Amino acid sequence: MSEKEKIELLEEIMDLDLGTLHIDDTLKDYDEWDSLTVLTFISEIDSRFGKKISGEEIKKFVTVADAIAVME
Amino acid sequence: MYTLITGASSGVGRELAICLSQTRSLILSGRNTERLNETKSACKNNDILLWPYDLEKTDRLEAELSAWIKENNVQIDSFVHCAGLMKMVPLRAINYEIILNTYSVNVFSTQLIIKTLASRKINGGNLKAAVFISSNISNRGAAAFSAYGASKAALDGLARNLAAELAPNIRVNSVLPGGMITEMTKDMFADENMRNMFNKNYPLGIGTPKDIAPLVEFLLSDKSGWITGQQFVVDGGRTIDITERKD
Repeated sequence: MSEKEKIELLEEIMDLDLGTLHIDDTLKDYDEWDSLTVLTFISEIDSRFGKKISGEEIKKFVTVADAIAVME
Repeated sequence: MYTLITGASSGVGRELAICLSQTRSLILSGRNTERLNETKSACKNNDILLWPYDLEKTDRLEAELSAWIKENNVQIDSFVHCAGLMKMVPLRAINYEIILNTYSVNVFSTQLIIKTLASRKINGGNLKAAVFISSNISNRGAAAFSAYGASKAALDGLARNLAAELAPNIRVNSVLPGGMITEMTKDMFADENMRNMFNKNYPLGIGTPKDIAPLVEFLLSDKSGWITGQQFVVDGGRTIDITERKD
């Protein structure tokens, strides 16, 4: 999965229009980065990558780059 | 006579199996044979049979259970449906597979199992009582629980309809536990915020499967002979507490 595809997946998870996010964007700057998005992120990472990720780990994410780093 | 318990390889099912084995012969069902054997080892008597089955495979369920009953020549007088699939999934991440798997384990399999056990031809008219392990979300709602919560409401609806249809020979009731620490929920409780939230919202604290076992035993027994089609909430007071708690 390319970096562009990963960012698109994150946009889908956050229910944002394609092209909204950039790799260095701070997640907390987006209202859409809320508790339901975190749950959606956990569910999508599990179903698409077979990977369990905890809420604690997600809390440490600062930028878009941190979030897409676990998409593999 | 045997009691069939689904979801017996862990959590509520395993604890119930251990409690009920003090007075009953059991058939333990679950996906994983190794873990079913662990439950069997923890049980209090030796008359324990295993029926390993993945309840997501609903299309073959009736045929497989019928064949297993015939092959093992067993008679089943009671059924506890503990198997449950719970995923916290916000609506935007819901897909058909999640909905189908949730309903297959939580609802469809329950109906097909009880149909099989209620059959005079297959089980000799021996079934007397069934208890479905539902959830206190059944009559309520919570964010990210649409598939699970609606499936539990469907399960309780199934209990009421079957109670009416199968009376007076078979009684069907459901038990609605609140948040409990089990295999299925341990990841959820690993999160400190979630743990704090539960401790704050449960007047009697977070429960364990041992807290519901005596009620299930009662509902399976003749002592509850005039009770059918009912929901029994056992949730440490979670759903009756409207006190506003700031921290």
